Amino acid sequence: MSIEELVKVENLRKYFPFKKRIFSKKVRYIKAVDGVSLSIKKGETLALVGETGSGKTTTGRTILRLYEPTGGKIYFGGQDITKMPKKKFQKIRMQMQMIYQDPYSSLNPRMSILNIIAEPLRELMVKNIEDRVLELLESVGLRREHMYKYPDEISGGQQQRVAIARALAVNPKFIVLDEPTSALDVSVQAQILNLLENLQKEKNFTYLFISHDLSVVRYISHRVAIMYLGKIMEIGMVEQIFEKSQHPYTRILLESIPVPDPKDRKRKKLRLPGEIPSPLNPPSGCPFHTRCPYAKDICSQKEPGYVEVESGHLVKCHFAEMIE
Amino acid sequence: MKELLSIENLHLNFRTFWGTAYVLNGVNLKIYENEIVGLVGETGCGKSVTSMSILKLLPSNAELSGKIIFEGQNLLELSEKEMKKIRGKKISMIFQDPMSSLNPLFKIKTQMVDIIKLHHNIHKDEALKKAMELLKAVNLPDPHRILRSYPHELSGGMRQRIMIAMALSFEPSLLIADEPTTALDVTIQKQILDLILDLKKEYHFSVLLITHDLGVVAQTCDRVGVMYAGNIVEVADVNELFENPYHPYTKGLLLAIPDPRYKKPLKPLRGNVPSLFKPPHGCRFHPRCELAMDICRREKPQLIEYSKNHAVACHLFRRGDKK
Amino acid sequence: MKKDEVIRVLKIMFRNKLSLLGIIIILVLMLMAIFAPFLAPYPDQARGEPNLEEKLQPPSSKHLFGTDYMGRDVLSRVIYGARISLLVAIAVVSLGLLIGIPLGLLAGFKGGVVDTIIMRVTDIFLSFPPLLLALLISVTLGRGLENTIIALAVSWWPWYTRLIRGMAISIKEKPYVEVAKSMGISSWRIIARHILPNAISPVVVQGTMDMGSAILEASALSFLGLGVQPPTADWGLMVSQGKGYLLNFWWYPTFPGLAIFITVLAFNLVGDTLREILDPRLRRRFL
Repeated sequence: MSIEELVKVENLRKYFPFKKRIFSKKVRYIKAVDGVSLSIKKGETLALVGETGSGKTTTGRTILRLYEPTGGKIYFGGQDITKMPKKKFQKIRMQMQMIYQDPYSSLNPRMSILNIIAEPLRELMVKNIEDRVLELLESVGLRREHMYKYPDEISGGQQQRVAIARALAVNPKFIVLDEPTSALDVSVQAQILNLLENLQKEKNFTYLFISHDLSVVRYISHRVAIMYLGKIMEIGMVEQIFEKSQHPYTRILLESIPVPDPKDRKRKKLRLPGEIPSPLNPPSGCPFHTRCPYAKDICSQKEPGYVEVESGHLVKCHFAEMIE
Repeated sequence: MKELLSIENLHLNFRTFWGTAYVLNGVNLKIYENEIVGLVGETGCGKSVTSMSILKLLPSNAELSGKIIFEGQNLLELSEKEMKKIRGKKISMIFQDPMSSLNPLFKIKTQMVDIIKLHHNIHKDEALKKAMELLKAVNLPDPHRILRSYPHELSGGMRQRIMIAMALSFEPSLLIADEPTTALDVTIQKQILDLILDLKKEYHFSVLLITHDLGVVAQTCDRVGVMYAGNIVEVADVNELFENPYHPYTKGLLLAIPDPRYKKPLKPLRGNVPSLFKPPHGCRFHPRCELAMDICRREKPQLIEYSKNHAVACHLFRRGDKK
Repeated sequence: MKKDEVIRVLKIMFRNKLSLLGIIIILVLMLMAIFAPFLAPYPDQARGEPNLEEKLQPPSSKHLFGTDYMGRDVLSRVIYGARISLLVAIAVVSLGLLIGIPLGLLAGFKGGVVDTIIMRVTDIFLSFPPLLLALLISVTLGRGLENTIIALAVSWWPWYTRLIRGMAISIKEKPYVEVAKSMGISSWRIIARHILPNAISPVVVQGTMDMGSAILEASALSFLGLGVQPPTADWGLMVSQGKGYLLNFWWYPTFPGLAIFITVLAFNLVGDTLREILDPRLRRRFL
């Protein structure tokens, strides 16, 4: 494994037990994450894209071991952290932080901004806490006057900035961003995206950017992984995915983005019947075959492997490279 | 083009414990027959309450003034009984969360048949037939199965289709769609928007599409109104608005959204949406406007038609000095 | 709670007519309790000294609420009774909170075996009707004010435990708790700084309403002869002693009964408003 890779995940699986009837003994599993392999280089942003129920958030949370993985391996900085004892893991865990979709629920409403950011600093025995908090606030574009306010007294964008400042307090290397801008207004979204990008340039952060919004993904990420029913369908550099995608699902996703330009109207009807199947009853073979306009017999019988169509561009489809 | 709905100088205040919230500050908007008008803006700009005002579905602490002319009559002067004849029949509405408009305890069949029966005054069997037709019209596969289901057994996209089917049952002349696809995945969003466009062609109604997503507006609407803090700041044909925006807020929004086709630098708008309890004097956008002048702090700019079919409310654009 | 939030809450309480009424009644009761020796026209009679010449007099300018079977001024005794009632209310609820909150936090936050043990114990307590339980404890401990308070507190805490446990369980799933854990903040700090401050509101509301109930139940115990002993002036006891006289000498049990009723009502009015303000789902009505 190259030193450049900060996070590496091999064949990660997370199954949630699920009982259909209260008294039935048969336990079934929701395969939320089912064999995900990926790696993220230092200073890189990997976007994890998918629809509701694709398992993108579960993947992010399992990498941080907020969920214990059912199978597979997670490496952080070359160390296997999959089964690392809690105490030992705690030190590494500090270097991995998470930013949540709803900034308000990630801040304790009963604590002032100062105390919210100071809490981890006190734990780290930092001196001159107030100066350090101010420094952190300024690095996310807030001012001293925000220090004494409470979360419900500032706007959503400012709340997200506070959450970012708190994450910065523990000097993380890796940040999981779980739809960090989808609860924010468009004008504020740009502020946060720019902030995240600048922080990355400054501190060489590694991001896992979880999102359903392909426009935002195009802007922020270096590499993109498209997830469907707990599996990565296609992964590659951002240009490879957006311009040379080889997977029918990616194509359809791209086709359905509403482009903010009326001259580029997509009048073509979407050829995607139905909706995402339940992860309790995933289809046999290729998970996408039930909705795929190109599906052939083989797709329902055999699960396709990954085809490397270009260096670093993997496609999980029997007909990769064959679609016009 | 014939005018269908005209909102004139609509003011709306909410009296609350914390003081009065000045939610709508003189909204002017026209909707013509057979067109899709987008109303776009950020949280709290008043786009949703504008639509609720049209149907007069506002809480009791609301103070509404101005005019809403629909088919020749001022809706604000109508009694509750008269409004009931308009609501759901001449003007239908669909919401962001279809689950909240469906009763979770009853099958789709019961809910659809009840409403159709009640309003059309027809027999149960006929109502059922009509319900089937409507479900087919919104491209729901296997309508028999859908009718036998409970709302929670269906996906978000299917529920939204059912809501659209129910909204169509009275052949309304105006459909208000309040963020109809915000809770849905992109692929489903595209399907629902395609469906609305198809149905509009077939049934010839107008749509007021309320959304925060400029992409949805660009892909769907004929004309667009941009709202900011209780005012309509710009109205134009969709191509014109995206190509040649006048208002600094519209320009700012367009520069702030990412484009999925290529990576362009994002230029965020500075500051935040103002509080409606203490809205800024004059032009409500002036604290965030890079071009604000003295007059912007003092005087509220009126919405004027600056060029053909392109109206703007900004002191930079004054009547007469056409370019 | 933040200082300006307290002010905000108080402002609403004062604007709402019913809760203002409740606050005024409670303040008056407190003043009555504190200044009883100065306010009562016959402090000696209130403390129990008989005045047999004026036995069972109807209300008059001399005795506004009339006199009881020993000729003691009922008004004075009602004023002195406020002392006992408020003492019981505050002591019972405080003791209940003192036991209930830590146990509830522990059960909710730790979960697992700790939760199971604590909750089974509370279930045992909750399976008795509270008054019956208080009665049993009271009988075991013997009569008297202190024992009444202990008996009521013991039958009271499980409600708070259950309430705060539910809150703790929902709050510990919040992202801010997850973040605190990921940053290595100790469990105790998380409980003290994140869980407790966010879980306390409904308990405060319940506690306020319970002050009224505590007075009611203490009165019930007194009524049954288990609580405060004569000649102490206690509302419940007065009602109990006066019940036989109701038909001919209505004022004797009526005024102490009214005092109980009004006090319980006042605490409920305040508690109700407090709940509406602190409950985020009801908050919108005031926003």
